[in-house]
Amino acid sequence: MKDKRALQSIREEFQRFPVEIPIRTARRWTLLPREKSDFIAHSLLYLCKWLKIDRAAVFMIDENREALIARVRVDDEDVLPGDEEIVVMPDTPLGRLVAGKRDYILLEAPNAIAYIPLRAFGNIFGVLLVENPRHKRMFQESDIPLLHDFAHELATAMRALEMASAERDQVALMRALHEVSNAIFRSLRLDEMLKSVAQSLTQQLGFDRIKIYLVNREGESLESAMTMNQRQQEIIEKETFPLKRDIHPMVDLILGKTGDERIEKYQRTIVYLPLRTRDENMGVLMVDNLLSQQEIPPEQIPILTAIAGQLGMAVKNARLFQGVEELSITDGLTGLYLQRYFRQRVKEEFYRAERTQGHLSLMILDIDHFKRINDTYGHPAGDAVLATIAERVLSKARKVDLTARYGGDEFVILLPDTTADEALQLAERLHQAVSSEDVMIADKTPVHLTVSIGIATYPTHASSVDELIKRADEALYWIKSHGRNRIRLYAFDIPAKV
Amino acid sequence: MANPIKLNLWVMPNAGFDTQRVMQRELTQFRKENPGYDVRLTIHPWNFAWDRLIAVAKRKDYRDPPDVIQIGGTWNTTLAALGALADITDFLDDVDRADIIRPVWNYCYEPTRTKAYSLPWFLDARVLYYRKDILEPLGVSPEDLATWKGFREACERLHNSELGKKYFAMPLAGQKEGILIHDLAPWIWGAGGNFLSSDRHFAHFHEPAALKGIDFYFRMMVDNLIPILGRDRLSTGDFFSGQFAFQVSGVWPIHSFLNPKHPYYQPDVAKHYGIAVFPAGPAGQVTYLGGSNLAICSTSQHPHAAWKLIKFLTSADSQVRHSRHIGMLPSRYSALESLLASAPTPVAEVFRHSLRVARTLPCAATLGTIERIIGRASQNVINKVRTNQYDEATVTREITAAAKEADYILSLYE
Repeated sequence: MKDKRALQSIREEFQRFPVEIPIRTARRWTLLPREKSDFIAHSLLYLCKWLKIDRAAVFMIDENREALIARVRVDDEDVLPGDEEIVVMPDTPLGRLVAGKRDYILLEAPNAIAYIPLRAFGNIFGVLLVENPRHKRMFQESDIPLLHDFAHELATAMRALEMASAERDQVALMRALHEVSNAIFRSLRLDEMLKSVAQSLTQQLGFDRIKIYLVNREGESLESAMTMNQRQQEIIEKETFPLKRDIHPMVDLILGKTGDERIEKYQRTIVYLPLRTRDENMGVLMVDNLLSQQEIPPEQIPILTAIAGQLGMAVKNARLFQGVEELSITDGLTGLYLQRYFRQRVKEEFYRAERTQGHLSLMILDIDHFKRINDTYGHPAGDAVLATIAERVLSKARKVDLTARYGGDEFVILLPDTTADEALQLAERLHQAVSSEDVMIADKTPVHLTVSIGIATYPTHASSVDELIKRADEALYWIKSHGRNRIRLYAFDIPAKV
Repeated sequence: MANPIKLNLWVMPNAGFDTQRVMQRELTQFRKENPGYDVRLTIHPWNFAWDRLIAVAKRKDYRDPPDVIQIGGTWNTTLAALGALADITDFLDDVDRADIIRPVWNYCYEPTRTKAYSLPWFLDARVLYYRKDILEPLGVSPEDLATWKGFREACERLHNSELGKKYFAMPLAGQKEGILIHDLAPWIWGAGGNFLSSDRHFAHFHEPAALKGIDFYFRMMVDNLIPILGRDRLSTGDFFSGQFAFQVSGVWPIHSFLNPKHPYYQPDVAKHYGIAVFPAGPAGQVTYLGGSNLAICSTSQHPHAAWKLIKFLTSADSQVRHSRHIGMLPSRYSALESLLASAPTPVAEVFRHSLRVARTLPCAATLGTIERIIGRASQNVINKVRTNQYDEATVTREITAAAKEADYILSLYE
């Protein structure tokens, strides 16, 4: 044990250990490993091998300096979990060692044991324990300098590693705040903004999952608006919680009830952050590490709180923008998009279909003999019919379809990524939905309605946006000239509409 | 010849200090049969492996990530949900499915059973070890151990006899880690209970049948049949240190404590031990099945090569060789039969039978957290036993509170 070459070898071994983070310290080694517990285990294994010690362990002093918590323990060549705790009493040898009033403890029974403080930059933060239960060889006073040297080397390396790691974490946090802030203000559209924030958060802070819940516009419920896993895949799921107490701890949080036992118990793996503006609660940002069972570092909480504050304001702004935008692009009577907006979107979808070599179908729906309703029952009845038909069309259209009011009693439905056959099937459903039930007008008079639907598909029938609309219109015109109340897919033998 | 494809394989120390040697022998055979491939082996202790796998899943810049990884069977669903594992469903066309021990397929698929993420490597089923030399003088026959009732009566007979001053009935499972979910599992299942609802939305371990099984187990502690403290008021030791008449364990003791060639051999116990299927509860005979699987890491650049390695390591030939050295059961019926052919008949029969009645833990992404909740509740119950405050109401309250907590966790993911 007196062999100084042992210490030299340990130092060299520190240098050889797999490295990742470059650190500059006053010590000889300049590179340290990425996993602290690996590094400690590796060092202890090496110590045991070189000095022929049966067991070694590193204990860290807890926050209150009342206990030593085992961090890593090695026994022979086995690395064991740190599952031991030693209570430190003030007036005991161990208490004095932790307080810096003793330099070491040597015990002979029941095993040969030595405790050496781990001290770096003037502070004792842990204890090195070495044991010889199998060899029964006592540690001697003469062993102490070498063990002290080892403990000093190890302690300095551990502290340097911690500082580097803290610095790296701090930089990562700042980068995360910057990135997420950028993501928040990247778009005024709510869906795009939420997606961008979730992507940025998972990318920067690596949570298992991020969920954003928003209070609906009516203020009646909390609804999931964005869910993203750690691989930045958006998960489509619909969750709705009524905004009432005792339904879910997250809802209670929104309603101002704090101190839920479940939230507190899991606050290190599941964090809920209300999206508050000055005067209202917009929703909740939830991040969790429940699957990986890794603690969310406490230093991330202030950053997340700041992000949640920004996000609350951004959601409010996005909703205001959405409201204004809706007013300018939708028809007040039917709630469908206006023709102007439709024209803009049809171009976008057409280019997308061209680029992806996909299909794009378009149907124009006309209410048969609509003029008669206006003439017989008056214009308010005509408006009621239009609103009802729009509602029925919307109920059968898919989420991806775009429905607009095209003219007086004409509706147009754009069907992205849809072949002619698929469009025909959808048209059947619409036709059925509209004509299956009478429409009640003001004085409860039932009116039976039918519709005619003309369909055209890119690239089968058209090579431009204008041509696509024209072909669907020609198909519709053909129906109107052949008795109405049916569906017609454009065919090249249909005469052009004059 | 082109450069060989290099694969990184991560395993746990399945053969202890011999793991490197045992695995290298398999890998040498693999290289011989697959000349275009090379494998680098890394051994991670169990307690580090999880963190490593999470780091691989989360850090895109992880240096030298693994291609093939050993995972605990119950990790499959969680790691798949985290996106750490590659989907191997299509590769399974290549596998003789009927040869894989049936219940362990549960550890391979995600809960809806549409996608598979790992293939079983080796297994362990819980059985009951007993000391013939202790039971015979008490007039207890192996047949008496077939049911919970008979088993408890045998424990009581020992406890109340002169031999009871020398031997305890059964040691507390998981003295160090606390009671684990797989320690409670056969008692809960044997009483007709379940851990979770079949859709995994709710905890069911607080329902009357499950509570009956839990109560049966803890009452053994209350009546000192499973002592919480040893005679020195500290450690209780275990069956293989010679202080107990029974122990629930897997196949590993046969490979170690009961094997004259093993350094841990316990001749005094080995001379007198018997082995039985886990006693049948009121709802029938059932035991816990655990094990390890092999999976392809989702970041692997060589999934096809990785599959070749998995296919080799899970082949019957490799499993027979490997299982002999690690003291576990192979995951294939064909390999199991080869291995059991050389085992004493009662041992072979008990394990064959146990695998027929074995069950796996539920496949829930949050199972790790549920395990912790159950572990904490069990510790609270043990504290009540320790302070003589145990009664049915107490255990119901503790376990119900744990189930409520589990419901909250399940509501977040399942």
